[in-house]
Amino acid sequence: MKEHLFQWIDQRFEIGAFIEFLKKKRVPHGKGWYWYYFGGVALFLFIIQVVTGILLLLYYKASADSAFESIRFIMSQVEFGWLIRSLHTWSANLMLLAIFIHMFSVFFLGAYKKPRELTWVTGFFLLLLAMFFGFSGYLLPWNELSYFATKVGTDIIGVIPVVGKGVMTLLRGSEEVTGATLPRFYGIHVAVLPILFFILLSAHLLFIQIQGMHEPKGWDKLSEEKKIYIPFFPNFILRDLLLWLIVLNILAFLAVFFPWELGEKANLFASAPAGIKPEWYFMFMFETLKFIPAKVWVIDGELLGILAFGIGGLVWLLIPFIDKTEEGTVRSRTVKIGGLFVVAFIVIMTALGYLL
Amino acid sequence: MEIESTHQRRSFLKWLMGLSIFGWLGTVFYPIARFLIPPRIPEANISSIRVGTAKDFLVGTGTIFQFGRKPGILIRLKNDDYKAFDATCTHLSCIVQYRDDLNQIWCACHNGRFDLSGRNVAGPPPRPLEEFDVNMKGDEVWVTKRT
Amino acid sequence: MMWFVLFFMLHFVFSEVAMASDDNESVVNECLSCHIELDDELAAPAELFSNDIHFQLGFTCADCHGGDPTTDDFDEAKDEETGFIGVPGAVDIPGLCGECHNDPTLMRRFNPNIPVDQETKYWTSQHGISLKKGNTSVATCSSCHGIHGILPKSDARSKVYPKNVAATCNNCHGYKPLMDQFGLSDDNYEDYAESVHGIAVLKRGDFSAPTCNDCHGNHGAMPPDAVSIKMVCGNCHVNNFNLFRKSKMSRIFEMRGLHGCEVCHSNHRILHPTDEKISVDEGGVCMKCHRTGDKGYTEAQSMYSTLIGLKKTISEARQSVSKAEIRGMDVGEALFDIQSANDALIRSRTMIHTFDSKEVKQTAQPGREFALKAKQKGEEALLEYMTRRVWLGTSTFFITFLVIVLFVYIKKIER
Repeated sequence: MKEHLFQWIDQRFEIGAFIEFLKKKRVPHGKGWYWYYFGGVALFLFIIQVVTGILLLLYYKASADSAFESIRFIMSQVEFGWLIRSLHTWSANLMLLAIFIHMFSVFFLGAYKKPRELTWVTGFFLLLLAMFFGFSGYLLPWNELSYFATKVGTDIIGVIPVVGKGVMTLLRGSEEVTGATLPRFYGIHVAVLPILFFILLSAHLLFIQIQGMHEPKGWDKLSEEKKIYIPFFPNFILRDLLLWLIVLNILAFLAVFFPWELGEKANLFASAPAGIKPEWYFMFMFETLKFIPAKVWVIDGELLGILAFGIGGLVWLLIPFIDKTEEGTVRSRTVKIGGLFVVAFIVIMTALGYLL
Repeated sequence: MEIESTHQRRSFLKWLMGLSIFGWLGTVFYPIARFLIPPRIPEANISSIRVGTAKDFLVGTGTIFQFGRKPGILIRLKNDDYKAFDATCTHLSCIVQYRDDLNQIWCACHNGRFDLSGRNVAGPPPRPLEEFDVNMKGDEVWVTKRT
Repeated sequence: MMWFVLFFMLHFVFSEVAMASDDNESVVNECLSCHIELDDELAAPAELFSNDIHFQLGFTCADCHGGDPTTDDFDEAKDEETGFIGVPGAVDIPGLCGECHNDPTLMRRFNPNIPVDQETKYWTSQHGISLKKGNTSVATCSSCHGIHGILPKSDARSKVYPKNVAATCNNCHGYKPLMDQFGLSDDNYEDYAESVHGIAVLKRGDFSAPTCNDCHGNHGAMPPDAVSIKMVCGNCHVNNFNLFRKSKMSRIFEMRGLHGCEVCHSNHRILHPTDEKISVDEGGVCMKCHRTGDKGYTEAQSMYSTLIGLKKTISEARQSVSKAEIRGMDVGEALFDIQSANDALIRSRTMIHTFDSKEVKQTAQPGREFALKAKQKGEEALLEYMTRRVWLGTSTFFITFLVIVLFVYIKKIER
C-alpha cells in the first residue's frame, strides 16, 4: 500500500531523486556546530508568525476606531485569543533575536565569503524586512505606546534630505500619524512584506541547498576520517526539531508569564507619555541619534547619524565583496575585530538606551 | 538476546515518541481550534444585535440590554412600535428607564427626561440620547447603530 | 390736545408699519442717507441701524424718533408738526418700545409667539420701580438690547444671546461706583463665571444651564425671595427640590426666613458640590447651624460616611476591574455593575436633601452590592489570568517530554 502510493507519486513527480538527494545530503559537524542552528530557529519562529498572524487576521480590524477594540476583543472574547496574540508578539521578538545571532555567527565564522555572497545579501535584506515587519506590526494594536513609537520612528525617516518628507508622508498616509496611517501599515504588514519576505527567504534557502552548508575554518586541511559529517535526514532534522521544541517551550513560557498587555487606546491629542522607547532592535540606532549633538559643523546632527547608519549598513551589506581575505590570515582577523566593534557598539548602545 | 532487548528498547522509544508527538500536537491544535470557534459576541464594535423576540418585551415597558460594552434601552410602545436608545444619561451617565405614565424616558438620578425621539426635554441632561434603529426579522427584534 | 397727539402717533405708526411690512426696499428713509454722511457721533446710529432687526423688517428711524423720513430737507424732516422727538429720555424708553411690543395684533404679524407683556413686567422689576421713582441710572430696554443695533435673542451677536447675558448684566452690575449707589455688590459676574452654571453656559455653551435671567427673570428682574428661591432652583433640580420640600429642614428654614438652597449652595458662586459639604469637619456646611453632638451632627456624620464608604468601594472595584482590563480580560459585565453602583452613588447624593441618614443608606446599599460584585468579578478575572498558566503546564509537559525522548533518540541513532 505504502509502496504503491510512493510509486504513483514517483511516476508523476520523480520524488525518488529528491529522496536520494536527501539521503545523501550531509552536514559538516565541526567546531562551533551549534551556531549553525540559529537560522533554523529563525525559520521556525517565522512559521509561527505566519500561523498566528493568519489567526489574528480573522478578528483584527484595521481602522482607528476599531483596531484597539478588536485587539481587546481578541484578548477577552475569543478563546485563547490572548495566547495567540501574545505568541505573535513574543515570537516576533525572538525571531529578530535569532536573526541577529544567526547573522553575527555567520559573520564571525566567515561563512559569507565566496561563493556565498548572495546568501549573505539575501539574508541582510531579510533582516531589514523583519525589522520593518516589527515596526509596522507595532502600530496595529493602536494603543498609546505604539502610536507614539510610530510617530517618533516615522519622524526620523522625515529627516532624510530630499526624499525623507515624501517617504514619510507616503508611509503615514498624511502629514501626521493618524487613522490614515493604520491601513497603510496594515497592508504593508500583512501583504507587502510577506510576499517580499517569502521570495527572499526562498532564494536564501535555495542557495543553501545548492551550495551546501559552509564548512568551518580549517576543515579542508583535515584528513578525510577526521571530517565528521552527520546525515541531513534524519539526524540534522531531528536536532533542528529538538531545538525548535525547546524554543517553543520558551516561547509559551514567555507568552503565558509575560503576556503582552493591551495598554490604553491611542489618543491623538494626548501628550506623549514619558519614556517613549522604540522596540529593542531599533534601540541602538535611536540611542546613538540622541548622543549626536544637534549640529555638527553645518550638518544637522540627526541627519548625520542617519547617513552614518546608512553607510554602515551599506558596508555591512557589501562585506562579502569587500572582504576577500583567506580565513585564518592576519587580515581576516582584522575584519573580525571590526565586527567585534560593531557588536560591542550595538550592545552598549542598546544597554544605554534601557539604563539611561 | 542483547540485540533483542536493544530492539525492544528502540521500539518502546518510538512508541513514547509517537505518544508525546500526539500530545504535543494536541496542545498546539486545541487552542487553534478553539480560537476559530466564533465567540459569544461575534465581533468587536458590534453595530447590530438581536435583542430578543417580541414576546420578551411587554407593551408599554422599556428593557435594558447590553449593546457591546454599553447599555441600551428598548421600548415597546402602546401602538406596538419599538424604539431603542443609548441608555446612558447624557448628564452624569446614569442608566435611564422608560416611564409609561410620563410617556417619556426618565433618569432617576436627577429627574432628567427625554422624549421618544431621544431629545432632552426636561431636567439637567445637556444632550439628546443617541437613537438606534429597530428592525424586525419575523418575530426577532434587532437593534442597529445608526451610521 | 393729548388725544390729538396720541391719535396722530397711532395713525402714524400704523400707516408706517403697513408700508414697512410689504417690502423693505420700497421704504423711503432719508434720515439714513443724511446721517451716514455726518460726523462720527451722528453717523453711528445710522450705521448701526442697518443691522437692526427693526430695520430688516422695514421700520424706519421715524417709527421711534418721529419726524418725516420722506424728505431730505433738514428742517422739514424735523419739523415739530411731524412729531419729531429727538433722543428719547430714559423714562420714556419703556413706553416707546411698548407702543408696538405691547400690541398683540401688531406683534403677531412678525412673530406670533413673541410675548407682549415686557413693559408690564418691566414696571414690576427693581429697574422699573426705581425708574418710576425718577432714578434714571437704572436699566431700561436699550441698556440690555442695545440702541440702534438691536438683534433677536437667537443671534449669537446679540447682547441678550444666552452666552452674552451675564456680560450684559455685568456692564452695570460690575460697575462699583454705580452699584455703591444702590448698596449692591459688584462681584456677581465673577462668582457666576466660576460656578457650575457659569462654566456650563460660558465655557461649554450648554444653554440648558441657567444664566442671570433664568433665576432673576429678565424684564421683571428681581432677586428671588426666601420662599421662591427653592422653586427657582427646583425648576431644573426637580428631585432635590421635591425631597427638600418634604423635609423637616424646609419648614424650619421657612420659619427662620432662610433662603432654601442658597443656605448650603450659596447663590451666584454655586460650585460643584463635593461629598465634603456634608462632613462635620472643615468644608462642611451643616455645622453652620448645628453643634457638635446634636441630632443634625450625627445625621450628617452618618450620611457622610455612607457616601464616602460607597465611593471608596466603587473606586476599589474600578481598580480591580481596570487591572484585569489592561491585561486583556473580559470585564464587560463588571463595567456594567460599576455603572449601576455609580447610579446608586449619584442617587444617594440626591437623597441627602431628605436629611435622613436612613434614606441615604437605603439608596446607597444596592450600589455597595453592585460595587462589591464588580470588584469580585475583577478579582476573578485576574485570577483566571493567573490560572491560564495551568494550560501552559500541560503543554510544556508534552513538549519537555518530547524533547527528552527526542534527545535520547538522537543519541541512540548517532551512536
